[in-house]
Amino acid sequence: MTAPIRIGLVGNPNVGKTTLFNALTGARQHVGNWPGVTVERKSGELTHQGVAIEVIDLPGIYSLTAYSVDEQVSRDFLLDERSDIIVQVVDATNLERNLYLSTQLAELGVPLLLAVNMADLAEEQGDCLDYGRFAGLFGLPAVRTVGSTGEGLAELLDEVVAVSRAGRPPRVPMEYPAESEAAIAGLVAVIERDPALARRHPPRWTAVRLLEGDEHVLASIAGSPVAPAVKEQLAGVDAIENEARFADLRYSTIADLLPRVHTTCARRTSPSDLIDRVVTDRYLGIPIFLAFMWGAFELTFAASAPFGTLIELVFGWLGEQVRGAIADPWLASLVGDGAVGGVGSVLVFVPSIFILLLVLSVLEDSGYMARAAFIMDRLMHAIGLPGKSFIPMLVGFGCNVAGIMATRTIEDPKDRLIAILLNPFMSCGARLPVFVLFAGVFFTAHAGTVVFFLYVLGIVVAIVAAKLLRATVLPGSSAPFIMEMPPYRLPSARTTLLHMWSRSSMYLKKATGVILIGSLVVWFLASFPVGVEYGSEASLAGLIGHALEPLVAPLGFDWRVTIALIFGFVAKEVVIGSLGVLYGAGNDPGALAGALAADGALSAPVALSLMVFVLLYTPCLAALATIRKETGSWRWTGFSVVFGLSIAWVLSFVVYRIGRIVLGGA
Amino acid sequence: MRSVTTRSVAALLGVLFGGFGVVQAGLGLALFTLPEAWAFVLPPSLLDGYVLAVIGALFLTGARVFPSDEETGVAYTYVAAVFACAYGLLSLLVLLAGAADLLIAGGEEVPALVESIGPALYLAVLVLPTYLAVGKRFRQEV
Repeated sequence: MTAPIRIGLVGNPNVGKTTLFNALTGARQHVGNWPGVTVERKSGELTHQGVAIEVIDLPGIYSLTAYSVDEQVSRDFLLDERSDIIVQVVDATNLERNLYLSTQLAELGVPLLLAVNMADLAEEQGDCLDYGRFAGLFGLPAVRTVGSTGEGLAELLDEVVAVSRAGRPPRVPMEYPAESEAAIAGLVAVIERDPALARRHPPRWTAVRLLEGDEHVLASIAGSPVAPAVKEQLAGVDAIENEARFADLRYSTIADLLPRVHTTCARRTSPSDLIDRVVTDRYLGIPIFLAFMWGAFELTFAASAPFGTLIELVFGWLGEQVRGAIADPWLASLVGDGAVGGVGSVLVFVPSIFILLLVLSVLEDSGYMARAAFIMDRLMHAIGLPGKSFIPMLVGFGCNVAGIMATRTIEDPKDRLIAILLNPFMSCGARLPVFVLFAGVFFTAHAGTVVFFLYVLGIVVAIVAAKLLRATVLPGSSAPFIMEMPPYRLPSARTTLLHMWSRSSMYLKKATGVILIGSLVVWFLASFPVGVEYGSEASLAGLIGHALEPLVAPLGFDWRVTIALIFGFVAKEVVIGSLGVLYGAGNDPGALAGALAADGALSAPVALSLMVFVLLYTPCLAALATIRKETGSWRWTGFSVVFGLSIAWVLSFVVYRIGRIVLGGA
Repeated sequence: MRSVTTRSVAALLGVLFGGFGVVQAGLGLALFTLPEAWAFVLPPSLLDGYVLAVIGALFLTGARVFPSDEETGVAYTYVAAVFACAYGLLSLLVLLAGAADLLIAGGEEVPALVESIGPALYLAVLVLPTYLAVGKRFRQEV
């Protein structure tokens, strides 16, 4: 039986690695048209020519020197775990920069194959590539691929099998200056005295990295018996100078060889360049971005309405069936009011979440979101954050957990910590149902505008909070922003829908999991002790709500809202489910809106205050767990909770008081 | 489309979109009012007016840069036309979704539905020929 092959899929950020990975393995990993979408390694399997192949998709790297957490994931895999073959995905429209990594990978001594991806785009802009000459000149076989359409995948897999069977390491014709070659030879002789160290990586590669001052390699030889001799060899070596000199050498080697495989048949200004002149306009860039966002919210509200109404009707019918089918009043209440009512009142808002995430996916996949990060860079710098941190904030609009994970692309630990602490202020999809419900009931004609301004408020609060953190607990200046602009692409329906589904399906899962459990717990609290009126002030829910009410009374919240907010710590959708149960809206989600409108304790100022509180306090337990994991600190996790709650309380108080003056009401 | 024509059309559309946008946003902010009959032509909306004003600014920038940099002028006019058509399409979707909602839920809120036929929709129809002509020119430029 043929031995299985393990492929490490590497390359610069945003060259289409995950698109190729999905096409090869049939996986549905999230792809996006901006650098830094993949922050963790992903694994998938396939069979080709009867050979089992495992593909490991790795975060993008520009070189083997890792600066950020996601880059470390790739580097650790390449150096410590290794694979039978490395497939480097290179962007056909930007070969020179991509091949820099190839020159480093080639020295690792692992069979290497180039997947020259997005070849269609290169050809459109007038580039001609001679794939057959890559192997002769660079010692690297190359295959033309277009990940989005699947072109060249069969040929790529044929080459994977052939190259890994041959087991020949690549041979990039690169010679270091004589003085450096002497230093490399000296170090190789020392390294080879420790067989374990010599087996770990090719001694020549280790020597080159040591001369470049690679801290990871320096740390890895610390326990070796030859470590003192290596240090002696390195005494007096200027690592920074070497790194710069070697980088120049690699680029000049590429520059010498590239014209032999690449010719520009007819260079034209690309459509992306021309569109960028407009959407990144110094004065109109930000207004265009805001207009896009407003369009997204307007569409979300309008297009989701008929679907929401349909779900409402279906759950109304379902409720009638439940009532008719269960004779026992307790059980009928548990299933009808607790389960169907709680879950149904949340499902009504699922269309809004799906449509908002669909629109955001289209904007991401088209490449526009990378421009949004670019145009926001000046503003981000003004508040002490790199423009790069705007991308996790945008991702946070979909889900804070994903947004917090996306901060892995930020190199500076302080910048990253601030970006993590700010992400909960970005209004995730789970908060949208609360906004849709309360804005719909209390600001009927202007519901879309109110929700839009809530999202803007989240961004404004994040900006002010960043400034505050920079001025107090996390002082310093932000790192400069360098980001590659991906070309605009017409998003493919499949990718966009998959992208939307991967993000929004979690709400459906939550509806049958945590929301169902939360709704049943609230039903229990609203029904006991035995004999009390369901959901009344004498119930357990009423007693708990009343005990905590003084804390939130200045914000205009009564005991029911208090209980719903407590359950909102678990997940924001539970706020709606809890209110549905507490207001006895039962299995008719539309009845909750009516019950809220009829409640004298609620008014437009209270609704505004509540929406601001929901926007700013802790998003959910999953987000807290992610903050703990990413910061590695309970202290910062606790800080995030207290910080969010404090800001939420103060702003809700201000909004409520001003709202009462301007809008009147309770 | 010839350069002078493209420039003139961009300027005209810029004034139209900008004018309608400023008036609609002003109505949304209740800075002034129009006779009730105008509600069907220019319903008050701060943010819809804002979007129209941004599109108008893009058209006007295109017209302004045309003499010095034709390629960039075409790019501004093209992006503005795409934006205008996309926003018109969005307005149409909003209208259709409202109609579908009425159909499912029942009710007689037809006037509210008619009010959602804002300038974004009919100005988009006006832009469509420009989009087609400038689109052709844009593709030629690149």
